[in-house]
Amino acid sequence: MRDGRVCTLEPVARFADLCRQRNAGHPGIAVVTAAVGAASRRDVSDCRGPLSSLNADVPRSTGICAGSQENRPARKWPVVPVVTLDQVLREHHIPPALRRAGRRREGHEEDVFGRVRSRAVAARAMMIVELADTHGELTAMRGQHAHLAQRILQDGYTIVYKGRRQTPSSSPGNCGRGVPAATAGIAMITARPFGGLCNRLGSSIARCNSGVRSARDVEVIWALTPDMGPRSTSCVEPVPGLRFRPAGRFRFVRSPWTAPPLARAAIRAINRLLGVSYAFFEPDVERLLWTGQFDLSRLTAGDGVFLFTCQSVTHWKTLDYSVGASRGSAARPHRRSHGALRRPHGRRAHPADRSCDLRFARARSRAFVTADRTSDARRRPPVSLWPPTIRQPRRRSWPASAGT
Amino acid sequence: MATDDPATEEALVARFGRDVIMTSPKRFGRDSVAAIQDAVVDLFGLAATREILASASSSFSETASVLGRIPLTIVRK
Repeated sequence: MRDGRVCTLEPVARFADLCRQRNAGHPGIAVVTAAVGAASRRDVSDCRGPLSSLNADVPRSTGICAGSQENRPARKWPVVPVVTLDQVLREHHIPPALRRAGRRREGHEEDVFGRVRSRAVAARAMMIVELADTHGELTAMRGQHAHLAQRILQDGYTIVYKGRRQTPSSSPGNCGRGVPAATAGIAMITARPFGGLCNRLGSSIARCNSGVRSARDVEVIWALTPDMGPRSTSCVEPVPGLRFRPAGRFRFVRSPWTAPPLARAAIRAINRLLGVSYAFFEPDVERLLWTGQFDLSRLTAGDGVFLFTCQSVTHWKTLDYSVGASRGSAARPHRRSHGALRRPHGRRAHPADRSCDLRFARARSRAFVTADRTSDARRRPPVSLWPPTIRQPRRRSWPASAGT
Repeated sequence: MATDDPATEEALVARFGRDVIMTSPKRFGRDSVAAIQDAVVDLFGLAATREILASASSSFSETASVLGRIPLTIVRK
C-alpha cells in the first residue's frame, strides 16, 4: 500500500490524534475522527476504553463498557459522529481500485459490511475486518461475526492474515500467514507493581490478562514497601499462570532512563544477566510504547519483559473522555518521595480503563481472595470476594463525644 | 465512609454523626494483614453504595467504582 490511499477511522479523539502522529510521514493516510455505521448520524459513543463499542452485544459479552444508562456513570461522554463507509470514501476521493475497507471493532461490522460489501466486491477492494468469531471474550458477537466471515468468504475473498492482537484467543492455526503464536509471544512477563492494595491488584490482573493473551506465565514481584506491609501469601491466593514472589533477584532491575551513561550500560548488562531483555518503567510506557518507538510484537520467544508500573500497558494512557477534559496537556510523570513514578494528580486513568482487567478477576472467581491465615479461618471455607455479597450494615450508635 | 486516616474518620463522624456507615472497629495501617482485610471490607462496602465521593488520585475509590459499577465523583478542596 505504499502508493495507496488509506483512510483510518477512529472515534476516540485521543486515539485519532495518536494515529495522526504515528502516520505523520505518510501523506496517503488520512485519519477521520468518527465511527462507522450504516447511516450517518451523531451518536453518543460509550468511549471508556479500547473495547468501547456502540453495539449493545459487546458490553453484554464482555461485561465492560456497559452502554446502558443504568450502568453509565453520571458524567458526560463525547458525542461521536457516525459516518457511512461510502461517505468517507467519497469525501476523501479514494479511487475504487485502491479502496481498502478497514474496520474497527466498534460493533457494527455486520451492519456496515452488509451494505458496502457489494461495492467492495465490485471494486476488488482489499478489506481489513476485525472479526470476533474466534474471540474468547466477545462471546455474544461470535455468532454474527462468524456469519459475516462466511459471507465474505462466499464473495470470493481469501483470508491472507488473521492477526492475533484482536483475536487473542485464537489458536495458532488460526493465524493464517501471520506470525505463529508460539514464536510471536514473549518468554515471561514480570511485573513489579508499586503502591497499595488496589494498585497492586489492578496491575497484577492487567499483567495476568496480558499473560493469558500471549499464552505466557506472569510473575509478579511483591515487594514489601511502606504502602504494603503484608506478604503476598497473606493477601492473595495462588492463581494459575500467575506467580507471586517476593523481591529477590530482580532487585537490581532499575530504570536506566535517568542514570548516567556508564551506569545505564551496567544496569542493562545486569538486567540481561537476570533474564530481563527489556525493562519498562512508567515513563517508558508513554515514551517508548505509546509513541511507537518500541514494538512489543517484535519480541522473540527468548525475550523477558520486566514492567515496573501500577498501570496496564494497554490501558496506561489516561483515558478521560469526559467533555471538557483537558486535551494535549502532556502527562509528565514525576517522582514520588519514595522514588516510585506516577503521574500528576488529576491525570489518573479512569477506573473504567481497568474494568476489563477487573473483569478478568471475575472470570477467575477465586483470583483474589483474602486469605485469613488464622487457625479459625482454616476451619472455614475461603470467602470469595467476587461477586461481592455485602449485607446492609447496621447503624450503630456513636459515643456521645463523637456525635454532633 | 472508607478511610485509612483516623483523623479524617474522626472529622466526618463529628460532622455527620449517626448518618455515617463505616467498618468498626477498624484497624488502620498498611503493615498488617488485619488492616488490609479491613481495607478489603471497606472496598466492597464502598462498591455496594450508589455513588462514591472520593479524594483525588484514590485508586482505592476507583477500584470500588469499577467493582460496583457506580459513579465516582472526585471531591477537591
